[in-house]
Amino acid sequence: MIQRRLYIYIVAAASFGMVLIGLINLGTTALNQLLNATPPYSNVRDAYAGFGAVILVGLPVWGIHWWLAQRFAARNADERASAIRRLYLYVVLAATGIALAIYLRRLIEDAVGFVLGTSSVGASITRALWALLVVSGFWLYHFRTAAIDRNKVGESGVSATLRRWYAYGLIFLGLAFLLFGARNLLQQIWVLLVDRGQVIAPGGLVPTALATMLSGLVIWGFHSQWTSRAPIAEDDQRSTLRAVQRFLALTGCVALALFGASQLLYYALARVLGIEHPGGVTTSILVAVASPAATVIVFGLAWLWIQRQLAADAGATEATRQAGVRHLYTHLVAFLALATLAIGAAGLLWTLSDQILNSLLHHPTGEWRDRISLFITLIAVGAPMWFTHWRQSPELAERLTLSRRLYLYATLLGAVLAALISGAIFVYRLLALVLGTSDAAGGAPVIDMGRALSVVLVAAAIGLYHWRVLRSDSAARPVIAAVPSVSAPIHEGRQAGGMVVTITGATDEQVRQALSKLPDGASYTIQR
Amino acid sequence: MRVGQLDTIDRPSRLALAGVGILTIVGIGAMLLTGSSRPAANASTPAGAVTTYVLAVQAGDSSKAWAVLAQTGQPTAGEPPRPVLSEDDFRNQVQSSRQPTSPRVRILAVHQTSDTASIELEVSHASGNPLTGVTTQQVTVDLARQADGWRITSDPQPWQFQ
Repeated sequence: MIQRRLYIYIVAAASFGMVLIGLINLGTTALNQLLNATPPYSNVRDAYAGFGAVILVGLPVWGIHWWLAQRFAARNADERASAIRRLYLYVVLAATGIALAIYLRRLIEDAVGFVLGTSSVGASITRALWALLVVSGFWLYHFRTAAIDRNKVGESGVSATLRRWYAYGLIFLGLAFLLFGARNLLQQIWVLLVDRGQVIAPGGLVPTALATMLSGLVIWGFHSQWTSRAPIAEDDQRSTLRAVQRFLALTGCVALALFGASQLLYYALARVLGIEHPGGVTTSILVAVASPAATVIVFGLAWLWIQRQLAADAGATEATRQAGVRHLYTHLVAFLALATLAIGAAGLLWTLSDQILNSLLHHPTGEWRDRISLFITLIAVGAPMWFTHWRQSPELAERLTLSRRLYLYATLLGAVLAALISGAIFVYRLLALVLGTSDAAGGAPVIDMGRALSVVLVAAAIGLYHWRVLRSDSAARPVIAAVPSVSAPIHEGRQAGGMVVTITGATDEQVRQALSKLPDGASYTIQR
Repeated sequence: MRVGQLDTIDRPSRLALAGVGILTIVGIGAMLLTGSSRPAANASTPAGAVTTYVLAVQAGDSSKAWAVLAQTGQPTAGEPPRPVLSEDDFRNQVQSSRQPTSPRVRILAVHQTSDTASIELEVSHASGNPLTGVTTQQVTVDLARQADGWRITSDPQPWQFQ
């Protein structure tokens, strides 16, 4: 049975791909010819023959195999509920969903460009429209088929996981389109408004950003509304994939918002220090800040928004999960902030070491204020973020969380690796100095040793601090006491293959309430 | 298939929708404003000649762009001689280099004497760089005053503006 299913759905998926590619390309070739547009293929007849053949072969094969799949599903509920069928449906939905996002973006971009006069290629609008119609037709058909299957036989286990991969994957893609599109659009608007008189051709940047944002909104909006309604919402409430998708999005938003804030502060500080072109920026500072300001605004707001979504998700679950989500968020932000702080501190020491050693060796010192501004900025952004999110000695429950241990070990790993690599460089340059290699006379090894030492110092400080925290957490971990062997009930419990749990600080009622969630068939005895 | 009505969308999502709407309107407005305030596309000024050239190249109008190029072949002092380019070659370059998204072109500086001018341009292309969203490059265009106005004397390189 499984072999038959595999055969039917693999052939159906392959032939469906042929039909989709053939239909899109055959249609666009015909449209190019009708509209006298420049065709992408040198020989139109070759294109007709090739794509025509793909459809002529693919369509009957897909038709026959899909008809068989539907017939078996109608006869047998197990067939309809099978994970292989769901795999086919959600793979096709994901592929057509991604294609839909791409063609929708192209259609909006071409249409807006055409209306605003930045694009004069009318044929490309028709081509994108055709591709969008084909892809959305197939997507709708498969979406409806999956919904019918869900209504008839339900969706659980692997099938539900496959649906979540599709839904949360598309939500992530849509959100990325939406946020990057909004950031780029805000940046372009800023430049156009600030430097209106100097822009001689606005180009297609605004239509492109607008199209990215709007297509992202459609994909994200549809799928997030779909997953927020019963019965999918209840089913996905405790889903790990849903939380992973949100945490991934949150990580990206926090990292980009921190980057944007660093850039903004860097430009400001550099101007205070009298640097005319910070970071090699050649345009006016008002134009230069367009990108970081737009990044901070869009990704900062998204950060708050996703944080609220996570809190709302956790609010609908039990207290343990709420606390887990809160800790994961806090440790994630603390980790990113610490990385920013570490780069800033190491970079600052590196620049100062360069400056001091070059002066001592009578080498030209070069521009240092620009780099100092950059690294001070990273410290200024990273330090407060880290101090507000990191707690050295929290309550015991937080000390034992997985997210805290992940944070501590990831930080230790990064610090040890950085110290190891920089230490090796330091020793290598020290040996070069001692052995008098070709560049030793110029003092190059001394400069490199100063740089390596800067990284070693910061990595060692961070590593040592976190190692001590790790040790302190381990010391605070409660020791599991040996169970007294003389107690008769305990002895009985062990003999029956059960376990003994000692609980303090809770009433009988609270313990009974907690134990009521045990599976059917489980029994317990409460003894004081 | 029924996904949901607007009144059931949560508040942050509604705010996001409103933000997208505002950005869309302001973006289109900014584009229209720019069109009305850019230098007049004519050869009476160096900026006007460059504007004519860039807009014509982006629109794929090779004849109009060709008309702004100096035909004498006299290079500016100190500059390498411009490659000999026929109108057909130029048309082919314009047609073959067209990209789906044309770049934004800004004037950074104009250096002008009585008979020659040099304009520094910043050309910004859309990019997949998640940190910046655009890649920029600088292009310098040299011009000379001729009987019928300013003409571009440097290598036209239409692909830079497409």
